[in-house]
Amino acid sequence: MTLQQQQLLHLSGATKLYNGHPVLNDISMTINTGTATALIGRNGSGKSTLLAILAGLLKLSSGSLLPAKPKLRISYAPEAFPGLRMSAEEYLYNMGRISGMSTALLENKIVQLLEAFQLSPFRKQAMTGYSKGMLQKVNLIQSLLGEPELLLLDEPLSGLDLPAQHTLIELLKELKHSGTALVFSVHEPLCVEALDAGVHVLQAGRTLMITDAGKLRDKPSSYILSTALSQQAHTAMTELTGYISSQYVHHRYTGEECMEWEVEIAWTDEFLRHILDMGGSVLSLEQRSGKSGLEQWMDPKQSGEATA
Amino acid sequence: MRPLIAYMLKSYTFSQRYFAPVASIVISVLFLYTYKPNPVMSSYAATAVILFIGCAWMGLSFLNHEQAVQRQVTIVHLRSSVKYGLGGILTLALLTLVLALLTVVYPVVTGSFVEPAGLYHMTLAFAGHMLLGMLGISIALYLQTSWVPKSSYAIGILLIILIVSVGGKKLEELIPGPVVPVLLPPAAPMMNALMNADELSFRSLLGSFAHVLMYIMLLCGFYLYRSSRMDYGKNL
Repeated sequence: MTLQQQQLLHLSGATKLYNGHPVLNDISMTINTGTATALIGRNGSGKSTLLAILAGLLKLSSGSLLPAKPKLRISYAPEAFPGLRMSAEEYLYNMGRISGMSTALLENKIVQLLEAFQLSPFRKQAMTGYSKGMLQKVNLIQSLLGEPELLLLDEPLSGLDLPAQHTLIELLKELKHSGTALVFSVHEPLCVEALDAGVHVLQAGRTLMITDAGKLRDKPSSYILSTALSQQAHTAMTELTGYISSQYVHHRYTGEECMEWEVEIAWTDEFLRHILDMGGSVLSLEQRSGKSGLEQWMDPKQSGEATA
Repeated sequence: MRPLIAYMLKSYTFSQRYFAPVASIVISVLFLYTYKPNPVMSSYAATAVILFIGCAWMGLSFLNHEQAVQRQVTIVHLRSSVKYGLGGILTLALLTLVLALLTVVYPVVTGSFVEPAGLYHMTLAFAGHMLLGMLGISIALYLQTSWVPKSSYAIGILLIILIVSVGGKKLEELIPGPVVPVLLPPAAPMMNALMNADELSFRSLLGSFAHVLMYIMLLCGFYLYRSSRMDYGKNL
């Protein structure tokens, strides 16, 4: 059954300042029922702040957040859920009651979800003794208790074992199908691909692009190995059309430090010409599958090259 | 609101942070009634001040006991940060109610007074204890970690406010004019009203009670107003 998509929430020109510094800058997005949106970006790009804003926990410094109705049922699973001294079962029961669920429905749902995430044997234990993964499961279960119209998940796969990851994705697929809007931040392509999510790429608090998983899938690129160039020449190369990334590597045989350029195939000749014009030598050229666009924007290790 | 209060009570109890302030109140009251017999209303005035200080401490420990991320989750489930703030105040009011009841009933049950207290005195004492306890809590609302991030500052400020409030009469003499009686938390006038309950008219007693109640309502009201406009981040 396909539900007709309706607008749930509209965020317009959202800016959030902390001590005068923008953490989010002029972000706009519309969230519709039955859709999934992945927020991707490197560490510190503003994903968690954006989720907290959508949850109504942080106030905007400027811009507007307009829900389609006043009391939207929102659920939120934050990052780094803390371990409380009460048991998981007790905690989940309390959260469900606070959100207004009836006791009978709630008890049923808790049993079901604890079972699905294989937490049943630990349900009576205090959460202070839980591992990171177990706490994350409790965190996710509390967000899945009601029937949220908007489900916000901050790094939902973090710390989860493989069976739990698949359980979560199946549950999210069901929710999406039944009309719940999903917005989540991720560092792994799995969720994005499986939920066929729209992708909102953030960089330093700004929207870099709004696309979908398909467009960010792996495309082959050219890898040019050249001798190291001067700083000025290197900067000029990074500004050329078709540039994807570059990194210093050691030559396989000589051990000499050289530069590996990843460029779009269509612009390979242009790059080769530039390297030679700038006094460099081309050591090798090959075409191979690189990192997919998704992985590239999710990889925290590359944060230093984000603006290169 | 009941599920929220039940959760907050459970969470605070499990955290065991209640132990120090509650134990201090209990020990102070027990110590006060070690010697018998005691005058009724003067003793009640003294225990009301103990409750004022103890509840301020309890308020601070309660308001800081929940971790910031957990507080975020609770607020999203509630769909209102104002309800969350109100739930905290009501939970503390419930704890104050229990402590006030015990403090008022204990000397009667143990026969610590020089004369039978009587229903009138007990009712006045209960109202006085409740109001001073809630006054302490209303002050603590503004000193929790999300308002005053440095706990050493918060404790220092709280101690100064408590001392100045209890010694309000002296301060009024030193600084004449309406500023001190209006701005200062009215712990001293309440204590004075309880001590002299037999000499003061009922109208005058009611006036003292209304003054404290008004002060509590203003503090709580502004706190809730600010709560709806605050950020609830992952750090307190």
